[in-house]
Amino acid sequence: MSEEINLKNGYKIYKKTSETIKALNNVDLKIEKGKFYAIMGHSGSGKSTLIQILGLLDSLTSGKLYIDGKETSNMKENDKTYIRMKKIGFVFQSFYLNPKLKAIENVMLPMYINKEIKGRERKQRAKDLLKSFNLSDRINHYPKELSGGEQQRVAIARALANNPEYILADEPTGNLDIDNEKIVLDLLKKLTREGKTVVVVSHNEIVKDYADEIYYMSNGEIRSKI
Amino acid sequence: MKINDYIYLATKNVLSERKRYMRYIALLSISIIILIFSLTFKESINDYVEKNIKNNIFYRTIYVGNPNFKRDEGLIKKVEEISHIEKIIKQENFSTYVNANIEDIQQNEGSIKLIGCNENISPSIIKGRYITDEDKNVCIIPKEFYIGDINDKYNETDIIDGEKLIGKKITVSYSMYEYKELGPVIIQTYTDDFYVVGIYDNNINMGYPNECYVSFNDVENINKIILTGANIGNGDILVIADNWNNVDGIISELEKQGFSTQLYSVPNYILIDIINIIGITMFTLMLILSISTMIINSIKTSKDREKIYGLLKTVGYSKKNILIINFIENIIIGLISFIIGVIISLIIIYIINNLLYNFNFEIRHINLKIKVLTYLMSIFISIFIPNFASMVSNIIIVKKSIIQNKEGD
Ligand SMILES: Nc1ncnc2c1ncn2[C@@H]1O[C@H](COP(=O)(O)OP(=O)(O)OP(=O)(O)O)[C@@H](O)[C@H]1O
Ligand SMILES: [Mg+2]
Repeated sequence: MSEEINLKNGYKIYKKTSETIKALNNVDLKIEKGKFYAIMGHSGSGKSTLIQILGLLDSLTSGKLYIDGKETSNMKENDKTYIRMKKIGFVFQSFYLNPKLKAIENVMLPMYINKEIKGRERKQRAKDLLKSFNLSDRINHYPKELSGGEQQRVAIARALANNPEYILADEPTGNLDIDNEKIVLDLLKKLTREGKTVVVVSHNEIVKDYADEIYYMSNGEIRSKI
Repeated sequence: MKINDYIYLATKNVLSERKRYMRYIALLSISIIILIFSLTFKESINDYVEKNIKNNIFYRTIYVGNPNFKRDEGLIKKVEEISHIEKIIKQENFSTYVNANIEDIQQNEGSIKLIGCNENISPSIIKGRYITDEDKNVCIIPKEFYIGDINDKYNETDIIDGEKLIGKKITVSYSMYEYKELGPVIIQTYTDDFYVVGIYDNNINMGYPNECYVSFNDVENINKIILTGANIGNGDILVIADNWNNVDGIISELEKQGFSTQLYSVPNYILIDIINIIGITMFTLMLILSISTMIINSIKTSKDREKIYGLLKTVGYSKKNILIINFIENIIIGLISFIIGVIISLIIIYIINNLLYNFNFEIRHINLKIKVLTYLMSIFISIFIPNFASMVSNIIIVKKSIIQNKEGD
C-alpha cells in the first residue's frame, strides 16, 4: 500500500447562474511521505480549494483522490471522517481555535474521537505537544489571551493531536508577522524531519525556502517549478 | 467516543456558554414550575373531589321542603318514589348536639355533634369499622378529635388522637326540657355510653373535629328526648343521594314534583375550573415563550455554533458525534431546569399548603402534592424543549459541508 496522497484528473467546478468557475482544472498531484510541499499562487487561483480536497474537507466534481492507496471520492462520509481524524491535521490561516476552550483543551479536542489515545493519556500528550512548541506556560490560556503566533502554534499542536501523517496548512502564516512566520515555518519544517508530510499553501514567497517540492497554481491549473 | 467523553465535552460546552444557557434554564424552570403547578392543582383538586365530595354526606344531602313552608306529613311517601335515594330522614334527625366526656381524659368536656350514618352513608373510615343500621351505642370519631364548641378557637394541644380512643367509651349526656315562658328548663338529664369503633380523616372529609357519627336510630332516639315538647319545625326532610353523581338528577326530579330543594353543601366548581384554566393557559403561554425564545436564540447563535461544528468536523468528529454532544448539552440544561423547577415548586407548594390550611373554607382540605406522573411529564418536557428548539438549526448546520460550516454561512 503506497503511503501518499494522489490526486488524478481533479476537477472542482462551481456553477453559478451566470458563469462556471473551474476552481480546479484537471489537477494531477502526488504528495509523498516526509516531504515539505509548497503550493504557491495568486489569490483565487484555487489553492484553498485544492488543499481542502486533499484533506477531505471538500469533494471533487470529478477525478480521483487516493489517500494511502484508497480511493476516497466514493467513500461514505463516516469513512472520510475517520481518515480525516486519523491521517490528516489541518492548519488554517485564521487558526480556527475554539475561543471558549483553553489552549490545552483545544489540543485535546481531536483526541476524544481517537480510540487509540486513552483518556488519561490525553492531557499529558497535549501538554507534551504544547511544550515542544514552547507553549508550556500558555497551556491554560484562552485563544484571545494568546498572540497570533501562539495561537497558530496551538493550532499546529492540535493538528498533531492524533499523530496524523499529513499536515495540511492553508496560509498558516497569513495572519502573522515576520518573526512568527519564521517560527511557524521552522516548526513545520521540523515536522518533516520527524517523518511527517507537510503541505503548505501560500502566496508568500518565503515558503519556497522551506519546501522540498514547489508547485504553482493559476486559474485552477497546477504546474511544478522546473 | 465513550459516553463519559460525550458528557465531558457537553458539560464543557454548557459551561462555556453559561450566559446563553442560563437564560434557557431560567425560562425552562419557569415553564416547569408552571407545568407542575397546573398539573398539581388539577390533580390535587380532582383527588379532593374524589375523596371528599363523592364520599362526603354533606355534598350528597338535599333539603326538601314544601315551597310555601306548609307542613306536609306525606312528603316522605312522595319522595320515596324517586330513584337513587339512599335515605330519607326528617331534618331534625340528621344530627344532634350532646355533651361528651371521656373518663381517662379529664380536661375534655364539652359538646360534640352526633351525625347519623350507616355503611353507605359515612365518611371513609381510615381505621376500625363502619357503623350499620343495626348498631347501637357505637360511634365513629375524627382522627383529630376535639371535644368542645368549634366556634370558639381551639388550641392544637386540645386535639385528641382519635386512633387512641378506638375501643374506649365516650359518655354523652343530654337533657329533656320543659318549655316555660322564660325559656326551656331542664327536667331530666340522661347519659349514654358510646364505644368508638372507627375513625375518619376529618381533614379529607371536611368534618369539623367535634363531629362524630353514630347510627341513625341513636340520633333519632336522643332527639326524641331533647326535642320533647319542642316545636320541631315544618316537617322538612333531608334526602341523601346514593352517589354524588346522582345529586343533580334527584334535584331536578324533586323540583319537577314541585318541592323546594337546596344542597346541604355545594362544592366550589368555579374555583376549580378557574384554577385549571389559569394553569393550562399559563403553561401554554410559557411553553410557547420558552420554545420560541430558544429557537430564535439558537438561530441567532447558529453562526457561532456552525463554526464550532465545522471545527469539530475538521478535526474528525462525525455528524453523529456532534449531534450526540448537542443532545447531551440539552439534557444537561433540561435536568438543571427540572431540578430548579422542582425545588422551587416544592417550596411554593409547602407555603401554599400552609396558607390553605389556615382557610376556613373547604379549600383548606386541598392538600397539594406533586404526583409521580407530574415529575415524569416535567422531566420529559424539560429535555424535549431544548432539543426541539435546537433541532431545526442543528439539522441544517450538520447537513452543510465543512467548508460552509467553517465560513459560517
Ligand atoms: N463555494 C464557492 N462557490 C463558488 N465559487 C467558489 C467557491 N469557493 C471558491 N470559489 C472560487 O474558486 C476559485 C478558487 O478559490 P480558492 O479559495 O481556492 O482560491 P485561493 O487560491 O485559495 O485564493 P486566496 O489566496 O485568496 O485564498 C475562486 O475563483 C473562487 O471565487
Ligand atoms: Mg485561500
